Amino acid sequence: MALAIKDDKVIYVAPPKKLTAKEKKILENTPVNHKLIKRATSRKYNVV
Amino acid sequence: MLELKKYTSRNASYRLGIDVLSSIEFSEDLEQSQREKHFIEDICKRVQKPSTVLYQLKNNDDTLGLIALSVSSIGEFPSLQIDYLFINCSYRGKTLAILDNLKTSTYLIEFAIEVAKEIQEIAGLRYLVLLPDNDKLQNVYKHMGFSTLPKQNWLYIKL
Repeated sequence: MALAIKDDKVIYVAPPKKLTAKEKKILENTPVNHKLIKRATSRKYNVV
Repeated sequence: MLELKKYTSRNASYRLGIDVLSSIEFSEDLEQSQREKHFIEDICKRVQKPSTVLYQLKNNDDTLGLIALSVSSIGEFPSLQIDYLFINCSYRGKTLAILDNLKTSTYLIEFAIEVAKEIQEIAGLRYLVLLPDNDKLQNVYKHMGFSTLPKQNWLYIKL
């Protein structure tokens, strides 16, 4: 979800472009959830 | 038959918003339903541009939900952003056998992970990111596997 309503108009909210060193470290040190990714990528999706 | 109908700038017509809006049931709460309509209209306009892709999850003629994705970045890290996730009112909170006994929201999030992993192979994406609409949704997404960036409202899954 990256949309919001401001002054009765829909606005697009972008992720932060500047991160602190601490935030970068948190992002980089987050472990990959292999179980979740394996479950998500092993399913066959019928994209048309 | 379960399918994810993909809309991009190449195949989205000017009628996309009308067609999508007519296929879904909104929240019973009037204010919330108006927000949902505004967001979906906006997303359908964004799909006319190359940056946003919309997927409509359908089971035969029933629309279960929508997910809109765009490539973005969080800090310097390339990411796939979930611009909007909508679940048809009558399917909210329900697990469905046709979705591998998942809720529609979980199925669509996991589909977004699949898309992100495909793009990762060619563009080096690092994260799937989203900004929850409210605090209640933040907890729902955390339960699905998203992590929180402290002091930011953005949530992410490392790919």
